[in-house]
Amino acid sequence: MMKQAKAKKAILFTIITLFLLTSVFVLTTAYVKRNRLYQEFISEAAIASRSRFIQEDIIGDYLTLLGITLDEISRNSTSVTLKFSNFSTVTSSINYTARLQNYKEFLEGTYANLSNTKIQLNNFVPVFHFYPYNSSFKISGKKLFFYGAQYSKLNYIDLELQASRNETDPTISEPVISCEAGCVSLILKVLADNGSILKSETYSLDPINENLPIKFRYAELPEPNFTVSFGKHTEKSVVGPDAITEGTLYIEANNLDVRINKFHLDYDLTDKNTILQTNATIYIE
Amino acid sequence: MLLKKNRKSIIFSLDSLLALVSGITLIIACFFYISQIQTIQWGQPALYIFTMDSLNALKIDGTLENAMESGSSTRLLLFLNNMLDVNTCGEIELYNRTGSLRLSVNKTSCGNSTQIYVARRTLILNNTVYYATMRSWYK
Repeated sequence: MMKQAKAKKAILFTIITLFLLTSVFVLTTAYVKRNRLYQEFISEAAIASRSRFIQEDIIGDYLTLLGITLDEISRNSTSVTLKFSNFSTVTSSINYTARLQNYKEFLEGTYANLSNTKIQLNNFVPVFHFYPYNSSFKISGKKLFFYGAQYSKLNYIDLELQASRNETDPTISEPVISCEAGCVSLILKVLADNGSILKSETYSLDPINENLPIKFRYAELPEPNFTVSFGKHTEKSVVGPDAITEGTLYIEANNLDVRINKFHLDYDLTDKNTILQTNATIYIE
Repeated sequence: MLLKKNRKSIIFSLDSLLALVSGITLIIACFFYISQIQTIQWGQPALYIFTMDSLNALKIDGTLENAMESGSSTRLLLFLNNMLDVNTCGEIELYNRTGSLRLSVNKTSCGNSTQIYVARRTLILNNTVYYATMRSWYK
């Protein structure tokens, strides 16, 4: 009887021991799995951080290369204002496309090799957009375009330009401009290189009219010098049809440089997020 | 009676043998799994992120640009000595586009390490591309 009880105890002891050991085994495998997950998480987090880091680097440099300083996108109860202080230089002496191409080559070559990554930049051109207003900015050396596709939502453009000439007496031709409805204000201030004011005026312009440009002409320079216009714009094309766009701000500089010291755009309020975006894609591997 | 006893002892022997084998197997399996565990070094990704953030901050506040323009390493050295904690070492180098070294700064009184974290940041100065490299490691 006594022996039988001992035998039962022995079996029970065996079962409990096996049960405990199995528990330890299950816990061990669970711990190992968790450890592997953490390792993967850390690796992925590091990769994500690095990709994000490279991406931020490129975005910052894109604006620097174009000579653009984005101050803010502010919002009040009635409007959204996009504010740039410095918005490139309108000049024939800078090829912005070549500048970006040069940077792209550096990134895809030297920088990618050093970082042990594969970087591919596509559509890295000096054109970017402002959403949700579908506005576009195109910088091409001596010409600068702002396409305000949703011009009905555009309230004003505040622009300060500075010519690379010290003369304070350029001939300014101002066409008589009239606007009755759906007008957009163009607050234009033009400075000479030494800071003296050449022109400070607010124009009320019809975005769908082919308004004549405001022209600045320097006696010492061959024509044309620089022009500013807003409205319907026809861009002559060598191949294919001409491009006609409405609500377009157009600045052209010939034989001198025109710095854009201030470029503010005020739009009607939107409940959507406002985004500055290029069509460029960055592929990082 | 003897036959019954013999049968019982065989059963007990088998039971204990089975228990022993199972126990040893489970213990070996546990040790096998435990041996695969790698120590998670939480501080290392943090150091890598810190390295990237440091370069970013130095770029944004103009320190890298200033160092590249002036050729002076004072502000970079100040950053390395003051911003990195005592156990963290760092080195910043500035290169031009082709990879020629322009400036190199090391945190003072720091040794070497086999595990170094490296981050790079491009730098545009007068429309010319440069890049900065920061290495950091624990003492």
